[in-house]
Amino acid sequence: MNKILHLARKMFTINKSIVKGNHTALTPLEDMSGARGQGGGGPPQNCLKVFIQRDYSEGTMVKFQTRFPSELGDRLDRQSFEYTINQLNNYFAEAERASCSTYCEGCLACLTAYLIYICTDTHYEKCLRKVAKFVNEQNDRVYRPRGLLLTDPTTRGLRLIEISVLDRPAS
Amino acid sequence: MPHVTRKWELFPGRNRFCCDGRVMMAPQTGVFYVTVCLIAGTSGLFFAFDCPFLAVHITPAIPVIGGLLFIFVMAALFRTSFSDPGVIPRATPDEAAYIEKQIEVPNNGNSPTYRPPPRTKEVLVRGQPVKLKYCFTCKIFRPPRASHCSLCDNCVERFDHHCPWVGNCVGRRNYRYFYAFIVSLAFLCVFIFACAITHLIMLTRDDRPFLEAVRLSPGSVVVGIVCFFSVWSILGLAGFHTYLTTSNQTTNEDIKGSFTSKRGQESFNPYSHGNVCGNCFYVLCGPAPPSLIGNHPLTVLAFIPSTLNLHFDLSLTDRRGIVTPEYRAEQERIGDDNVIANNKTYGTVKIVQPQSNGMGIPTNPGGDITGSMNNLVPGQHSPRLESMNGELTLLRHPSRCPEDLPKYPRQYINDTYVPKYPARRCSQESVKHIKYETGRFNPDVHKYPYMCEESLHKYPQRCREEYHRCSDNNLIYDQYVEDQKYAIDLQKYPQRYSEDPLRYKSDDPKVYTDLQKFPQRYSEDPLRISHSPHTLKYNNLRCTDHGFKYPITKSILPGKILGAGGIPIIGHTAIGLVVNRFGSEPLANDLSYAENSFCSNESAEEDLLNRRFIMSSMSDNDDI
Repeated sequence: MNKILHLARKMFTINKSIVKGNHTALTPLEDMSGARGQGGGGPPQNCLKVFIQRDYSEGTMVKFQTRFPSELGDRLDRQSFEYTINQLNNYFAEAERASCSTYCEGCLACLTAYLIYICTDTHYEKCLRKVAKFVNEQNDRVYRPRGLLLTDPTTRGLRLIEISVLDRPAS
Repeated sequence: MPHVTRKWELFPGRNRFCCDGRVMMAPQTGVFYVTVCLIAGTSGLFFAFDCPFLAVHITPAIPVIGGLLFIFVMAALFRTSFSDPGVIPRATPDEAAYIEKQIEVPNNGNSPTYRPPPRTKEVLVRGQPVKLKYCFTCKIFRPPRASHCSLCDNCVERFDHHCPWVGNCVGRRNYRYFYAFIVSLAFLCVFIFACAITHLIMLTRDDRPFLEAVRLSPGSVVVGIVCFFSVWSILGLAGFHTYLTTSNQTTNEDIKGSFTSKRGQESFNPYSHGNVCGNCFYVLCGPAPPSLIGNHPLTVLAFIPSTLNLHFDLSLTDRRGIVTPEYRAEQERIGDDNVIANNKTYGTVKIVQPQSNGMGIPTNPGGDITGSMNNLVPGQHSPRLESMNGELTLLRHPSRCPEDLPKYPRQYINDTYVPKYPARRCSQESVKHIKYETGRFNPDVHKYPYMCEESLHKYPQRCREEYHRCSDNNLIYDQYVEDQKYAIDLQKYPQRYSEDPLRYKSDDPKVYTDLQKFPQRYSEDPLRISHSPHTLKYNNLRCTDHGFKYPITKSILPGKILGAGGIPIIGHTAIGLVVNRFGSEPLANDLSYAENSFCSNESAEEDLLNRRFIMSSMSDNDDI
């Protein structure tokens, strides 16, 4: 518990310093949204939202479409958007990859009558943690300074990625 | 410890939750208990009647194997029954509106017949066209292989079937447990059956009649009969699911014949890994997908209070943990059911009366507080009060708030309830000052009524009444006049103020520091010089930058007393007036506030002052 708290504090200070570093670039609105952030429990409501849908072309594994949404054209360049989505797709591909280690994990869990899941996180959950971290980092580095906010797809049931345009009202 | 609402408590499906959300089951669980009783009872009879005999006469391995199998079966059964089968959370209102907009068919011309938009979407999965159906309940296009369980009222990923025997849906997340349960149960069943028959045969070996054997071990007979009847169905089910697993299909798809070639169309299972082993491994030992509805409150991180505003893994914490106000608001909006875009209803969705406030006002968690405290216009929401909510824990518990406040004024103001607020936040908003100040300030408030009874008892009530009568804020200017009257009163009773050393010590250097700081201002103003030192303190409260442009009352007025759209918020007014007359006094002690603290553009400091005044006025006024 203490360790986690310590870690959390560390992250907090790091993020704070990042925000401070960019402070000149932030308008008051963005500043406010930064303070609320995802820490407050999610993106603000009643603003324009862009949804990146799932791509089912290769099966039911989690993969998101990399088509650039036109609504973000004036905010974000295509490269950074594609980088984000591809990176997320990679994380999920890694999570769902049928590798030897995941098979061993599954077999071991089966042998212990699935009681091992009480004490350890699965490989998938570890990957989701990475995703959450990546989303936060991208938000701080790329999205928030541009008045956008990326929502972790896990909070939307892995159905889609939600990008909120913070200073534009919902149409 | 205050009750923490967790996400499962707001879960929209019909599932039952136990053990603080760790256990998730279907709404009807009667058959599940039958299953448990049947397995446990039969195994119990087996362990009681057959095992002792067989352990002695054949091998002690029999009870050990039986025990291990039994433990595995029960573990798999509970795992299947109590875990999330892979429920897909429902769409947020924004998402639902977006989808509705996407599928809307442009109504060309003013044709009287409204054509409902298509309810299905076709995607290609590895070249195989798959229809995605729209779910009216969850307001999403169901992902491939997902289906809506009508009993649990959820969309479930890779839906297999709803199994009443295990009391849960069987879906992507618990299929492997279900399969393990079925297969191990088949083994257990065969094993017990064989053991019971062996036992009976061995008993009849010494030319004993069969009835004698039955009399010796009645349990074996019962076990044998139960196993005889159940073993066929269990074996059949295990075989069927083995076939499904090897071909990576679900029961649902098999029954519907989704992948059988029909009408000359070539069809194959696009989800299959190609070979039997690959399918088996992937389904049974592959990566274990996480629960997406966040009903596990196990994560330690979830216990970090949300007020910390951490930028750390919070989405993950969020997923499984405590309900934040935003999440609640979102959920309530989902519950509203007025998410239908453009007031249209589609297909078979139930008809919703178009409402003027289509999306609904997001419910503010502090709403009931404002309601109980003052007569706010419904839905009107003052940002000031919200910021106060952020600070005062007691306001989060509205049931406690108004009645108990006068009773325990110190408790709330001193640090009893403060530990909830992390030091970081205090330093950010420099609230520390306030807490320190109120600690000092509050005792004075208690002294006050006895000291200047006429003025105190008269004014707050009068102010409130008058404010109720005329919602015009001009009234406050009258108060300003009375302030000055009061200042004269002060002069009348100098000895009383000397009783209060903290504020009215005539030799308090701080009071005069102000004077020294702004000598030219006071010398410029002949009016002020003519006043007593007390009056000078009042004048200190004016904004030094704007001087006379913003006398006290005027600068308090716009932000605090007028709500949105210029509608006065009555409760605030009362507070504001108290503030004017009495609350402003101790400011002179603190230089940081003695400067332009009432300047209307210094919103942060104003906010602080406002908060302190509200706190102090609450503690000595029962009727707020």
